Amino acid sequence: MKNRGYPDMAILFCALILLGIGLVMVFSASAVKSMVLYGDRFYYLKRQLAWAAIGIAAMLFSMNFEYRHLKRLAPLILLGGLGLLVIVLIPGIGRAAHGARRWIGVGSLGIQPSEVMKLAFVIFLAASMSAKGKKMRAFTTGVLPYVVLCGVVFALILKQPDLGTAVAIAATAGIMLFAAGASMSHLLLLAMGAVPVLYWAVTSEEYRLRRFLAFLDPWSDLQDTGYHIVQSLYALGSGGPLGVGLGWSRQKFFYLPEQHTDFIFAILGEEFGFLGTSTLILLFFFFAWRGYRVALNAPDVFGSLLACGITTMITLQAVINIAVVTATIPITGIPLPFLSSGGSSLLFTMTGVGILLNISRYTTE
Amino acid sequence: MPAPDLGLRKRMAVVFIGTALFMAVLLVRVAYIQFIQGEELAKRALDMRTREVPVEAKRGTIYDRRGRELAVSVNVESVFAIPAQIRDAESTAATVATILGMEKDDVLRRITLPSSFVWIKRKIEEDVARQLKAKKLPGIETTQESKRYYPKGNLASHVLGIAGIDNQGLEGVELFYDTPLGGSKGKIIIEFDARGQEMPQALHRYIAPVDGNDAYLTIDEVVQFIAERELEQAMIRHQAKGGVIIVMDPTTGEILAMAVRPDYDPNNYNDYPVQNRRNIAVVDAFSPGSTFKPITAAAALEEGLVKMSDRFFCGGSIKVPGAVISCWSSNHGSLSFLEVIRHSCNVGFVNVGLRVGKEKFYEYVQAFNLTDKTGIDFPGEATGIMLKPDVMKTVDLAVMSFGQTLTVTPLQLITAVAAIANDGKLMRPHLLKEIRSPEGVVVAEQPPEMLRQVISRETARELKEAMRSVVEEGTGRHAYIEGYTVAGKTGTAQKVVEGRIVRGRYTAMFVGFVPYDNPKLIALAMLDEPEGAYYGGQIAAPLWAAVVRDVLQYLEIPPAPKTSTDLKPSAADPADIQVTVPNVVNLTPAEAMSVAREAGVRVFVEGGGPRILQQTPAAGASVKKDTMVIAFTEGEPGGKEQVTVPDLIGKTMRSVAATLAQVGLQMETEGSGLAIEQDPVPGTQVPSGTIVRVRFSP
Repeated sequence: MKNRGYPDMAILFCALILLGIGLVMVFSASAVKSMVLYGDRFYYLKRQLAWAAIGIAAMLFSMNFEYRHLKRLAPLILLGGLGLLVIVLIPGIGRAAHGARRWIGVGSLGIQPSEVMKLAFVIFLAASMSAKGKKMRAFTTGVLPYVVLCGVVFALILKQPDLGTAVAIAATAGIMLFAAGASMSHLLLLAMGAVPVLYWAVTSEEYRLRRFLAFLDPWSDLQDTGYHIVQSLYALGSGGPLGVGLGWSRQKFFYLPEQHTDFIFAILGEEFGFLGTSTLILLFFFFAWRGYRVALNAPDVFGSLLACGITTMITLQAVINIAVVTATIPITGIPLPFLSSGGSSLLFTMTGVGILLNISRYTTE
Repeated sequence: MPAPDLGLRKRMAVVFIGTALFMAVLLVRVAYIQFIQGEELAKRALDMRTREVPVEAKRGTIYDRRGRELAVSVNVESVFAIPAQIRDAESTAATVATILGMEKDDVLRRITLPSSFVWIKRKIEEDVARQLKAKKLPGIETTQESKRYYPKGNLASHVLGIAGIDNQGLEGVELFYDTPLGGSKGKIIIEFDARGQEMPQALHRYIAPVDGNDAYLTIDEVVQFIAERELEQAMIRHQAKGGVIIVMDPTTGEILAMAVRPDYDPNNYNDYPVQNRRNIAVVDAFSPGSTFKPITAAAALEEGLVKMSDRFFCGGSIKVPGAVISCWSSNHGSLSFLEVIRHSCNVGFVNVGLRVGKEKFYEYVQAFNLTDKTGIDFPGEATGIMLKPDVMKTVDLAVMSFGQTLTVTPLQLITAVAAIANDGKLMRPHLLKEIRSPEGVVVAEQPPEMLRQVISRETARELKEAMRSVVEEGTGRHAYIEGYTVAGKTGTAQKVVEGRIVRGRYTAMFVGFVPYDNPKLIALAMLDEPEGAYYGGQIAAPLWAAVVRDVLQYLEIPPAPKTSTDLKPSAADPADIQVTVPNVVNLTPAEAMSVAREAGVRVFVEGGGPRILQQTPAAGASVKKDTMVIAFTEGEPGGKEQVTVPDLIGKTMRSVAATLAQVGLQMETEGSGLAIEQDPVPGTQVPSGTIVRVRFSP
C-alpha cells in the first residue's frame, strides 16, 4: 500500500462552500420562524452551527481514518444501522414529529437512524460487492442478497414512515449494483420488479397518492395537497433571474412550510434568483464530477465503490430535492445535503465527505 | 486488492453522465420557472400575500341652485375584523358586542369567518368608535367611511332619492347622477404573512379614493319649501291620497320645485312604506282631464280648424257614434271657442277634437311629448297611455279631446303646457344645473335644451290669452293672484283604474303660468283622490295660487302694471284689518314667509343669504293686513346681527354642524372625531355668518 497523499482539495472546498451557503440560508430562511416560535432569531442558526462544527470534526476524523478499515467494520456498521432503525420504531424511544417516528435521542440532541443508514448501507454495499468480484454477475449471489437486504431496509424506513429516504437509499443501492458490475438484464428485471413495490408504497397511504399526483397540477388543490408545491413555485418565481436579495424572502413568512429544511432551495431561489439556483446546481455538479473522479481513480474496488456510493448518495439526494422543489417529480420529504437545517443529515453527509476525501488521498493517478 | 477494472470504470462514467443529465434537466426547469413563469408566479404570490382594505370616496354634495346643501356626506367610522389576527375570539366578540350593541353570537360568527376582511358594523357614531379603539383589540379595526345625511329631512326627498350604505345611489338624483357624485373607491394594500400578521417591511400601498363631484340642482330650496308647506296643508285639508306640486321655469325647463305626497325622510327611509318613496310626479300617470284641453285647442288653432270667435252650441250633451257624451254643465248654450275654453265646455271640445281628426290629434299629442318620456334627468320616468290613431275610434277621439281615457304623468303635462307658455317652444325639463369638482370647478353644465317648436308663437299667444280668461272669468278664478296676470287651466279627472272609470274618485288639477304674456313661472298642483270637494278649480287652483303667490314674492318677480282689465280682489278689502308684524329675524326666508302668512302680512326678502338679519317694519308694529315687510338677509355694514358662539367641545362633527346651523354660524373643520378646540371661544359675540374653526381629534 502506498503512502497516502493530500486529499482532493476541490472536494473539500466545494463541501465547505456548500456548507457555508447552507448556514447563511438556514439563518435567512428560519429567522422569522425562530423569532415567532422561540423568541430568538438565531435559534435554528445556532443549532445548525453546532451541527456544522460536529460535522466538520467528523469529516476531519474520517478524512484521516483509513477507509480500508471500514471494510472490516462494514457488517458491524450495518448491524448498528439496522438496530437503530428497529429501535426508532418502538414508541417511547423513537420520537415522533409531523406524524412520523423518525428520531431517537435525548433533549435537543436527536439522531435520525435513517440518516445513519444512508451511510452505513453504502459502506456495507461497497464492502460486500467489492468482495464478490465476478460473482456480481450471477443473480443468486450478485443481486438477490442485496435485493432482500435492501427490501428489509426499505420496509423499516417506510414503517416510520419516510418514503423519500427509503427511495433514496434503494436508488443509491441500485446505482451501486450497476456500478459494481451486476448484469444489465438482472438490473432491468429489478427495475421492473420495483415498479409494483413503488406503486404499492405510493397507493397504500391515501395521503401519499394525493400528494403524489399533486405535482402534476398543484393549483387544482391549492389549499391542501398542492399547497406546498405552489408556495415553493411562488418563491422560485418571485426570485426571477437575480432574486429579491438576501433576507428579503416573503414566502418564508409562514407561506412556505419547511422553509429552512426540505424547501430551503426555494428560499435560495427567491432571494438569489436563477443566479443562486444555477450556482448551487453547478456546485453539486462539480461535487459529483470530483466524487466520481475519486471513484474512478481509487486504488481498489472497495474504495472505488465506496467513493461512488457516497457521491451518488449525496448528489442523488440533491437531485431529488431540487426536482421536488421545482415540481418536476412528486413530492417526497428529502433534505438538500449541506443546506437543509437538520443535524443528522449534515453530520453523516460530512462524515461521508470525509471518507471520500480519505479515499482521494490514495488515488492512483 | 485489485484496482477497479475497466468495466467498473465505464459504468461509473455512465453514472456520472446520468447524474449530469439529471442536473441539466433541473437547470432547465429552474430557468423555466424563474425566467418564463417568474413574473406570473410573483404576481400570484403577491396577490396571495396582500389584502385590500377598501377606502371609500367621499360622495359629492347635492346643492340647490343657490348652493344650499340638500344632501351631504359626513365622516363616520366603520368597524371591520381581520379574523386571522383575532387572539381570543370569545372575549373579543363579547367586548365588541357590548360596545356596538350587537348580539355576541353574531359578532363571533363574523370574526371567525375564513375571510381576510369582514365588516362588523358600518357607519357607527364616532364616540362609539372611540370606545372600541381604546380597547386595542387585535384584529378589530376601524376605517373612516362617509354616511349620507340629508340636512333638510323630508324636503325634496323624492327628487334627491337615497344613497345606500356603500354610498351608491339607489333612487332619484342620487341614482341618476351616481357616477359623478360617487367618485371612485380607493384602497389600502397591505402585505400579510401566512398567519395574518402584518409583515415587517410589508408592502403598504395607499391608493387614494377620488372624491365625488358636487351636483347643483335647478331646485330652489325656498321654492321647494313653499311648495311642500302648501301641499302638506292641502293634503290635510282635503284628506287626499296623494299630491304633487311642480314649479318650473317655462323658458328653460328648469324645475324649481317638485313636491310629492306621501313623502318620507331619506335619513330614515326604512321607517316609511316603500310607496312613499315613489315620485308620482314622474313615475305615475294620471288622467289629465280638462287640463289637457289646451293641447286639443292648440292642435285645432294651429291647423286653422277653429278660430277663437267660432261659435259652438252646448245643450248639455253631444251624440257621437257609439255614445252620448255629457258636459259637466247643462246650461252653456251658445259659446265662442274662447268661452268654450274659459268654461271648460266638454261638448265644445268634442266638436273641435272631431274637426282635428285622429291623425292630426295624435300628431300634436306626440309633438307635445305626451306619448313619450320628457327625458328628465331622473330614473324610472314613466309615460302614460295614449291610443294610437289606428286603434282610436271616433268615441275615443271625442273623449280624449277633453282629456279622458288617456293618461300622462304630471311632469309630461306641465312640460306640454310650458311649451304653450313659452311661445310654442318645448323645453326638456331638467333637475341638474351643473356638476362641480370638489374644488368648485364646473365640470359639466346642463344648459336649457329646446326639443322643438310645437306650435307657432301666434297660436301660443291666442291660447295664453284664453287661459288667462280661464283664471279671470272662468273655472280658474281661485288661482287669481292680486297684481299678477295668471293664465291656467283647471282639471278634474275621474280616476281610471285598470281601464275602468271609478265613480266617486277624482284627481283635481290646476296648471298655470304667470305672468301670462311673458311667463316666468309655470306650476302644476295636483291632489289625488281628495275627500269632499274635488273640482280642480275648487281645491287645486287655490293650492296653486298659495304656492305661486309666495314664490313670486321670493323670486322678486314684480307685479304687472295695473291695466284696465277687470281685476277681481280675491278677498274682502284688506285695508280694514290691522295686524301685528311678527319677528322674522334669524329665520330662513322660507320660514319667514310662513310666519308672515300666519300673521297676515307679506314678506319681501332682500339678498340671497340663508337667514334674515334685519326687518322693517320692526316686530310688534301694527300695520294694515297684507302690508309688505322687507326682510334683509345681508345687513348693512356694522349692522349685522350678533350671535353668541355656542360651546362645541366634545361634540361629534354632525352635532357641531347642527348646533352652528341653528344659530346661523358657518363652520370650518379640521381632523375627525370629537371637537377639542374651537375658534372663537364659546360665549364670544360675533356677527351671524361668521366662520367658526373647529378642530376634531379621535
